[in-house]
Amino acid sequence: MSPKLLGQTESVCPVCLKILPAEIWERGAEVFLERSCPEHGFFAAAIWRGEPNFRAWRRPRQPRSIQAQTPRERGCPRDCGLCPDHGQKTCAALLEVTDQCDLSCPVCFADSGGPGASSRPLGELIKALHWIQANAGQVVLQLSGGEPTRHPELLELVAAAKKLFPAVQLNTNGLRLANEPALAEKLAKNGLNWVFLQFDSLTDPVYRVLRGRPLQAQKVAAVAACQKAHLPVILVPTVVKGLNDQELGQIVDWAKAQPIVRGVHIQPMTQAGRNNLTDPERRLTIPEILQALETGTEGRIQAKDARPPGCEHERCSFHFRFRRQADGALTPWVPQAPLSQLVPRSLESEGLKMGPTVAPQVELTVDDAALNQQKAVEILIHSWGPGEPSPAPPHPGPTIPMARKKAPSLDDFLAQARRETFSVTGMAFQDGQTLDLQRLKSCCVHVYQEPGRLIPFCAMNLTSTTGQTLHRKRPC
Amino acid sequence: MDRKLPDMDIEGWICHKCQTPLTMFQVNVTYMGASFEVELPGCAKCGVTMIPEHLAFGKMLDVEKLLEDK
Repeated sequence: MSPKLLGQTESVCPVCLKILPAEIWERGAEVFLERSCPEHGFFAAAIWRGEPNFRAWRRPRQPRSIQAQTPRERGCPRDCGLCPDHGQKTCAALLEVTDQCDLSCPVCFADSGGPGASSRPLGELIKALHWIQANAGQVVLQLSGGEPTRHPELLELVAAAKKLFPAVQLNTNGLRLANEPALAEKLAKNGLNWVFLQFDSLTDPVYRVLRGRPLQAQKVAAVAACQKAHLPVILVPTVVKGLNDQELGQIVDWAKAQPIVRGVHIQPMTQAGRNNLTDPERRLTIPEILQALETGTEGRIQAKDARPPGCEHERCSFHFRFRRQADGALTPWVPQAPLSQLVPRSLESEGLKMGPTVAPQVELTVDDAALNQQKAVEILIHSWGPGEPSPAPPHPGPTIPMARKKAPSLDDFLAQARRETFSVTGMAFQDGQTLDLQRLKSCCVHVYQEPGRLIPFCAMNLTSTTGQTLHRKRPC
Repeated sequence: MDRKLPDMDIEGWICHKCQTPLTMFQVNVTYMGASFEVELPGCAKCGVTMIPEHLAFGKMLDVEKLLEDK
């Protein structure tokens, strides 16, 4: 098959981060983002490999206007943020509460730890929470770092955040949760909604590569502590091709057997911050992850049931929302139409000029990005949050079949859905090789930065091949 | 489980078309492939069903959030 130009966009030079026009080319089963820097030459990065087909993975939406905090001066991604060119409000806001970390991972997008690392004063952080609430509104607030459990006033921070936001998430490596079992209960009492737990593997060799030391026992202990405290957990594997991608099925199978684990959120490795795994062939694209899930679960999860997001850009994430059945099976809550039936008539809505596509069988509606952002916050809370103060085990009694003659009541259904929803999701963060500025402008995961800015996550962590950053201040 | 909705006072409600007082019925509601049974007020003559505001913006909205796509 001859190469085909699929679209035009903008990117950066991975070496000097200069803004460059870019093209999206289909070459066989792979799709590449390609551009040339006058100083550093030609760059091509694979952004899609295999099925579901790139052209079928569609969720067009109208960008929304936002209240800009910074003027348009040097162009995206240098004007964050948010600047008037940004097309989506915040869905999740990250507050980095400390640079300190009790690990020194070979792979760390935030380049955390080191001798100069410190925690930010509580008063400063509470002011930041109020700023985020005033400017971003009702979002999911993520306490992040560094390792946020290193902050000496973590419980006060959680309580303060809970007063301002509908949901508070803790992004953690889980070591303190494992070593101090009473912490989970204190966090839950202070209003934490769920723990976003770094969980790369069920075996120690993977942790040795990604985290520099064996951690499997601590990860399991952290989940057990959260189970005891009725504090929901999302397992978050960082995935590298050839290292742990073939383990994804086992991670999902283990996760669904833990009543307190509400889902698995997969993050393919990017080249940002500190990273010694620089081989671009080890970067996974969304279809490769979906195929790894299907293979790893022996077809119990079907790639065809994955869906693109409506809040962030369609190529930034995928999601499955399942019912966790009494026999351990995961079935989609809502039957999904094949993606091939959802190819839109027009792809002009987001300004991306595309080549001809297959004839559509169903016209895909163009979503309202503003509405989807509100929905995304609510759906996150329903999927990942407890749903009830102390969630019951997932299979306390007979499961009510969806198609039985006598329907369940709304009360039965809601209680069942809160117990049994299990999500498998993933977010493909961008780096200097893969950065597509159309995607970046749709980002809804924003990092707070003093003195009152929201920086899209991939702009915040953008790191050149020489280690230069645009927005993140490097630790001393 | 009691499937009657709380705060469901149908005293004084009549069907506009038939001018008949509403009574309570078991109704099957279907949304995105999932069916639910709930007791709702309706007209015995023409079968029209009333969904009160607190149900539409309460439990039904919760169901929508659970089933709808992100």
